[in-house]
Amino acid sequence: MSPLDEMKSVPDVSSPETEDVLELRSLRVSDSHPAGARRLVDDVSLRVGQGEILGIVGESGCGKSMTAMAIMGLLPKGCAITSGSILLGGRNISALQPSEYNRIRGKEIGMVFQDPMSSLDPTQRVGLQVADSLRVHTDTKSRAARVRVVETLESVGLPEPAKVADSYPHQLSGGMRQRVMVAMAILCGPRLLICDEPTTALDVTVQKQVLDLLRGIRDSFGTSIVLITHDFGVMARVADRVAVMYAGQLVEEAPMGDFYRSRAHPYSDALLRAVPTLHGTRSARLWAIPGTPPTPAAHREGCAFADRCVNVRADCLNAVPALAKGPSPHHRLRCLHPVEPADGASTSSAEQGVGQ
Amino acid sequence: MRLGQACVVLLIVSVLTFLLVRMLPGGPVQALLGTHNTPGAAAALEQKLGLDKPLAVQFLTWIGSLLRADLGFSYVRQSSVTSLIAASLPNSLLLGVMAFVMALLVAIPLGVYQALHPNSWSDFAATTAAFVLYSMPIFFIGALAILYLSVYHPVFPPGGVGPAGVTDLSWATRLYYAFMPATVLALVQLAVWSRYVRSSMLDTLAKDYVRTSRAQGLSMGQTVRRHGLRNASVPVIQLIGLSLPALIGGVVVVESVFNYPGMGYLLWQAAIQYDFPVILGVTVIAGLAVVLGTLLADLLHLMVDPRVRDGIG
Amino acid sequence: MESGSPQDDGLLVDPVRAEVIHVPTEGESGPAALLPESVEPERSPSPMAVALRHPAARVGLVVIAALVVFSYIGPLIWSASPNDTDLLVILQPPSSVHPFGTDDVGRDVLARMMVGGQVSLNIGVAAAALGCAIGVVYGAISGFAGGRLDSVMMRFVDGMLAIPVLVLLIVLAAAFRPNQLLLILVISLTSWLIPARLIRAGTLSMKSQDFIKASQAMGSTSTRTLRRHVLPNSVGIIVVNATFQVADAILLVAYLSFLGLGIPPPTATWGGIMSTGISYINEQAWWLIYFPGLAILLAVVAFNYLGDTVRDAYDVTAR
Repeated sequence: MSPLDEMKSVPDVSSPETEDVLELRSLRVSDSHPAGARRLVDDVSLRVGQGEILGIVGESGCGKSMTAMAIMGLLPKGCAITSGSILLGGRNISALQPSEYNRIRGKEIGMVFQDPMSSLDPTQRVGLQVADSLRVHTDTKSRAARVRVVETLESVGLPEPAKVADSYPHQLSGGMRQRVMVAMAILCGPRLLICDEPTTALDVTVQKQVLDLLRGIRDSFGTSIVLITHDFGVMARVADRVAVMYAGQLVEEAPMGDFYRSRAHPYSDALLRAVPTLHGTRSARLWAIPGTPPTPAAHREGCAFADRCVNVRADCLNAVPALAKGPSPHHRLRCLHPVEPADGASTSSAEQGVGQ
Repeated sequence: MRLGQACVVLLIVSVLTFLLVRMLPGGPVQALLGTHNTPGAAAALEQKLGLDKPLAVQFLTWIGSLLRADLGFSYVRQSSVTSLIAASLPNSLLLGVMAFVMALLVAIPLGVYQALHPNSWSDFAATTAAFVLYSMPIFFIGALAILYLSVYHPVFPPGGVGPAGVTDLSWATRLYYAFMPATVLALVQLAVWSRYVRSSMLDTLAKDYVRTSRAQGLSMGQTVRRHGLRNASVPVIQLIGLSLPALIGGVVVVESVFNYPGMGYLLWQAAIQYDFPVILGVTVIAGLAVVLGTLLADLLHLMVDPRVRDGIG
Repeated sequence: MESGSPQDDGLLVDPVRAEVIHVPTEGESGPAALLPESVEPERSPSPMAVALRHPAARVGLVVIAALVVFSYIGPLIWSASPNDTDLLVILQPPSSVHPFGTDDVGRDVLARMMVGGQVSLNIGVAAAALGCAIGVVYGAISGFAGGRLDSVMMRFVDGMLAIPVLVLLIVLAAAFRPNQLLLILVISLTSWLIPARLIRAGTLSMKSQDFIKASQAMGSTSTRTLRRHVLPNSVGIIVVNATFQVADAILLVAYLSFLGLGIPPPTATWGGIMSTGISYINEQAWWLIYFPGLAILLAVVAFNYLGDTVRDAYDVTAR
């Protein structure tokens, strides 16, 4: 089954009527660089509906992880939200006190990190670590917590969950550890799950299992998921909607099907073409985007992608393009000179590429 | 894991002390007897050391007597070295343990606080203080302590383990008399150990599992207690194990400053009086103490880090 | 292993001096973390040149220069004799006649402080230099030999490091009544261990590089490799470590003379003056405590600080 076929079975949950679990309003995150605060996340607005999986994609350093950490309220030292707001179920959480934020993390928002090898404390038994969120958010007694932890470990597909709970992280495989991380994130039944490159550190076969697990969690619990990745293959397998970030800005956003059919930003197009294909006979060569991603800047004049763009014109350099309505409904685009709707050859090659 | 290395240390210490006795000016019998060199005593000692036998046999004889806790006889003190050490060792242990605990009780919170507020003014001040304290000669701190807390303001006794002439000392008296020397000793160790704790905790706080714990909803304080302390303690335990030789050196100086009758004082007096049986006995015990301390550190490491138990890392 | 113990991954860190000592484990010949990753024939800048360019390091140098002037030039200006006793002026606090006061037999403390400075600096610098020389030879032999000899030699170093230095010195000082030369020898016997480790690490990392393998294949000798490649690349870290060794040696000399096991009287030493001060502490002879105490502290801090700043500067330039 190709990813596109799979996608058709998913109801269109991105319709505006659905209650938003998460909404970012013109979020801006800056660091405290000596030469002036640089915008790491620049004016990002996004919505994630109930039970929706939103994929955020972009090269490393584009601000996608920074957006995730901003939602978690765990920005690194020196970085801060300078404007905009984060709404969780309609409630503005971006201005919460640290102690109030502690009550949200792990309870209403769960997070799965990239590297399951280093994300677990090597000196402690897995079960105890997983139980921590129950301990701080509820007054569950330790015996009841243990039962709940073992149940959750079982629900994420870990065989012999009691044995896993008594193991130390180094005694588990990478895939098992990532399942433990997922169990940890969903233990308190959060409304929102943020997954930052959850499969990057895993083997290809294990990647697929973990993605299916995430999808299963959405299907059974109606959990909304923000999936951050640089890998379109991962994105295509699970995401309902795609948001492309570049240089801290949202440059294009569309439901998955629309995105494949009518992506319009030259960067999105180039990213998709850069996906290697396993049986790429029709598209003989792999596209590489020339140049390197820009470093964060305090201020931009003109489109951030201009110096790498094949469609660049003089007016691209004058002003930052606004995020405007794109070629299809629910499609937003930040580009003055979008690419034509993709031709058949490149689309199918991209689809093949992402289907692996 | 370092059991082998511990044996190497013991071997080096025993070989060195053994060879030293043989190399002493005037020969071993003369050196060990000192002014008590009578023909009878010399003959008896020669017999005991087995000086007419090959060096290897002499060495084994020496090891054998060590294993029987027979460290020889001090002709200067007219007493067996074992009994002299037995009288001093408890005093030194009290001093050492007290200093050790005091240093840790300050070093851990201080280092953790610095790691949580790196590059702040308080961090900078503590770093500078540690640097100066580390370079401070112990006897200078000791002398200042006596000058201000015993001479100018008689708060603490200037030395000893208890009032002169009193033999049956209560614990309270012992602690009171040991307090000032132990504090001086602790200050120097504290300078080093707080740096260990700071850098180790900084490393630990940058780990991914700390971020995971925060994402679970634990506060920074909860995360430090739940994950930080345990993980940061792994390298700290090892480094503290490595700083035991320096601690023992400090004990010698502090006991000399405060005329505190422990092993260090015993060594010092013996060195001044060329009382070689005692010097060698104390040296062997010091080597043993380092080895035991290192083994203890390894054991602790084993308890803290499950990966070591499984033979990983 | 993430939370690597300092032993296991071959890194020993002294956080007070933030000294990173890479100790390759057996069989490992990876790049030494402490060495500038320069590729031949590029040479590391001279550490002293770096130090002079670095303003913070100048502070250490200035203090050391002041101590040198005080100890060696001072006696030429201050004509009081360090050993003349005057029982009419015993234990006098600082005055215009005796700016640093007098000791228990009426000797001028200022003059004695100057002589004590000479003793400290002579022994400190000479012992550190000798210790480094021994360490270089030992470490190079160990590194070039490799195999079982290397492992035995390094186990010996580990064993020696576990012996309390001061206890060892007391034993040696009691056995051989010391003079300056003997003290230098004895202290250097305890200060060669770390330089030996550093040079061995440098040797191992050099040995693994292709151009060395090539030159050795073409018949270049180990001595030549050492002189041409290992030493120039390790000179910075050795000089930095040597300044730390000077600081330690000054402290050890002070401890030994304080215990009455250093240079025998009547030669003045800082530790000896302090010892007198403690004997007469009930007479509140504070000047016999403060002057030697501060002098030792200043000297040790200066050398430690110099080493620290040069190492920092060196790390930056090496990067």
